[in-house]
Amino acid sequence: MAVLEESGTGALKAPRAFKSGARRTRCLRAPLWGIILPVLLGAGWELAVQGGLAEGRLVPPPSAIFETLLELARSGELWTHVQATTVRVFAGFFAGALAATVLGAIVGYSFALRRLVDPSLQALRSIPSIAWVPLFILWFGIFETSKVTLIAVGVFFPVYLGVLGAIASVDRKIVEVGNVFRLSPIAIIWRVLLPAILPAYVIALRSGLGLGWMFVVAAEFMGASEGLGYLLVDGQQLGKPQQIVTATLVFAVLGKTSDWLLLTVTAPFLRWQDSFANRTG
Amino acid sequence: MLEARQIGRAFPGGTVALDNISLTIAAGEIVSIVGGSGCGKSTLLRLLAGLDRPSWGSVWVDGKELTAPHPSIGVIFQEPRLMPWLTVRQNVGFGLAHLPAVERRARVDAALENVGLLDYGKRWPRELSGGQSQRVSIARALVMQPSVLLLDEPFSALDAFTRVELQEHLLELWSGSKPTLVIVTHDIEEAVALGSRLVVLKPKPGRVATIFDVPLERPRDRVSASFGEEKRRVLAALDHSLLEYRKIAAE
Repeated sequence: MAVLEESGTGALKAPRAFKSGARRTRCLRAPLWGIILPVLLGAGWELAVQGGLAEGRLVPPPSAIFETLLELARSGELWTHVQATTVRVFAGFFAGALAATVLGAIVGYSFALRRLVDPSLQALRSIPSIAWVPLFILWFGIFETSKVTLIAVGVFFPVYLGVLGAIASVDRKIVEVGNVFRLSPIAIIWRVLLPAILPAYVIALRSGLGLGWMFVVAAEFMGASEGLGYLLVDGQQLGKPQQIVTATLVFAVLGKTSDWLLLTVTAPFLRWQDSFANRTG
Repeated sequence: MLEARQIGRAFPGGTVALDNISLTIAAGEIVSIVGGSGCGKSTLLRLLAGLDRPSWGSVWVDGKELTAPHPSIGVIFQEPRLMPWLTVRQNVGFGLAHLPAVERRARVDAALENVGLLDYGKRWPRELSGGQSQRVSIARALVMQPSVLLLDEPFSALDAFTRVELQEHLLELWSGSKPTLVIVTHDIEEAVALGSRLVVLKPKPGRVATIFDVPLERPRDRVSASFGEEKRRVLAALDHSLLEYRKIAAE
């Protein structure tokens, strides 16, 4: 009897231990896996340059990049550039995403407006956004307004398309519940359609944000005295590849951080999902 | 009082789903509408709910023509149709957004208690069983204190045990404030168990085949001889309409 009982508790404990072990692997080790490859490549290149096997002037080794980064940080220049670029991206992102959400929701809700407005917007979408640059400079001057507008245009279309497409696929039956409760069109959009599309909306915002970072470079290429895009152009003109690589790395960090921020802020609103990612079993 | 005056509904493409239906439903009555598929049962209910407009004829509620969903008409659909992004509480309170929070909370509590789900308020819809979800949907309709409740095959997606349980539960809720119930169903037992009056529809286009009262006392004993007799009456009416339809189709 005692033996039976013991084996019984053992059998109960074993899966629990296994489960927590599995969870630890997922939480701690998964990001580490991703770091292995870049660290190996960086270390290899560093050794090659140090050992004299490669020159490393056009492709600077990690130590040179790190040095540039420190230098830029110490002089305070880095913050000026990071701030300038980040402010542009966020201003453009908010303006573009807001306009896209409002228009996408209204056009998605109203059949008449979809016929009236959507074709024009789709036509505008097919203009490569960079082609707006000369016009924006004429309209808004060479300073912030034209840059932020360009970024906003870049953010607008993926978000608009995302909202429009997601609203079209919202279950008619759920919208009908809103009708039974006699909600106004605005209330249907606000209380039914927008919450229903939230998961797709977050994806649309993420791709919008990604394009925002892409367009800030284009905007800063067209003439800026500060910003990470300016660092890129400056590095090219003065022949400082380590500055170019440093700026691109900072872009990567900022892009990834802003994406993570977006996910973190929206996560509490998505807990309701009965989805593959939220599976509890 | 809910009244359909010779209503019909034709869809684009020429299909006539319903033709010439006249019904007068008194306050507090329970009416079961029975018919096979293709009788336009759901179409009829949507017209009574104001979710759809009749192509001809008109629907009247308390002396006024119905042109859109009405504040005192609640609807329960075949599927629970809960908002997956709202908790059970928030779903039940969906139509009470205009009320102050304290009053809303009290009414949601009362409604949840009525359907026996007071402890489930913080759950997400995905965490509920089919029967529980349909109870939440009933609570969401009843919390509005409707004078008419329209039910479109409300229990057809549930297993037999849950179905009977919820039918009895519905009657229990009805015996409180006695709202008018109009239940569309293809389940003859359900129709007889619930309805004080039965409307049998015939197909293509959907029309009223016959209307009769169910003289059984409540609570109704589903295995009694008189209950069986009522079921047979409905079956006979359905069979008759089917035979008639076949004859027309053959000609």
